[in-house]
Amino acid sequence: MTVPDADPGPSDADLIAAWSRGDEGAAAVLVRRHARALARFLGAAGARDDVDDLVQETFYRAFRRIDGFRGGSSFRTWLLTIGRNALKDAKRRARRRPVIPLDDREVAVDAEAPHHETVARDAEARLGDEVAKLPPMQRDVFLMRAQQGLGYEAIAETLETSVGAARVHYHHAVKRLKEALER
Amino acid sequence: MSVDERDLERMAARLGVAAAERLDVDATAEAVLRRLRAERPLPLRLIRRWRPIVAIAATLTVAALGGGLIYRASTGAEPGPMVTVQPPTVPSIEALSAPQLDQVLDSLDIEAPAHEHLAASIEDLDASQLKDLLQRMEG
Repeated sequence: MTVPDADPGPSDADLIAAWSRGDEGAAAVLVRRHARALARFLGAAGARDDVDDLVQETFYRAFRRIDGFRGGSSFRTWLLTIGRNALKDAKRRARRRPVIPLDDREVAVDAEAPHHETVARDAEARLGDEVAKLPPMQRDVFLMRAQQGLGYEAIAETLETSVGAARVHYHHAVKRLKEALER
Repeated sequence: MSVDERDLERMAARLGVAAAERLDVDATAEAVLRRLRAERPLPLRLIRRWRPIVAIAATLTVAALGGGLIYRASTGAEPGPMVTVQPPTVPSIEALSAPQLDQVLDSLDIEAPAHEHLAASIEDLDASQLKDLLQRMEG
């Protein structure tokens, strides 16, 4: 006997249509559904303390121009595109004002944690640093595939490139990251 | 340390998790909606309520304009003559005759200042004296 899945609720398309008719509740559901995935992407792509602001900015931009969402891609990949641009804008703004860099990357240190867990966390922190050093296109392709689980076609559409180019970017990203982590 | 692609994907899946866990999604949703509300000139509900009325008004306007055009085409009525409105021209003081200068002074309804050379009323002034007086009054 198979147990039916729990009701996943209305689809993104239904919620978008409801928001277009002025249903604020539908917009709130979309935020709750996608905000954490977007925050993970932005956090891994180089956002630091401003992840909350960037998530908010991304949804704000998305809802303002919801008519521009053609439905060819998923709402989440569309959000990632907008989030990527919001992050670029934030970095551009940050470059224009002087800042004192603080190495405040949070690596949870748990004295009670087993050795292999500590090693794993250290490796993840190093991976985060290396991902941040990748060229933007390689970084985004890598994160969209390895972190967000998107297929090459969706990645190519989101980043406005070809499927072949997306594969090449991913291959180069993996090669560079492996070399960096094995050093 | 040897790393294969699967290890990378597994580690990558955990990147940004701390940032995501810190995110208050309800507060984010509320903040986004607040910004959107602040930007909208009219609540959508209000627009929705008025939309049919606006649509009817637009339809009636189009029908009236269309009807007018059809009527004009069927009756062959020509549009009315064009009227060009010229801006009023103001003659200079120099061009005014003595009676016209008197009229101007009367219309101003002012007491004429005592003339320096002639202790006379306005009626006693000749054309050149009236012009002189008006020019002095103009400053």
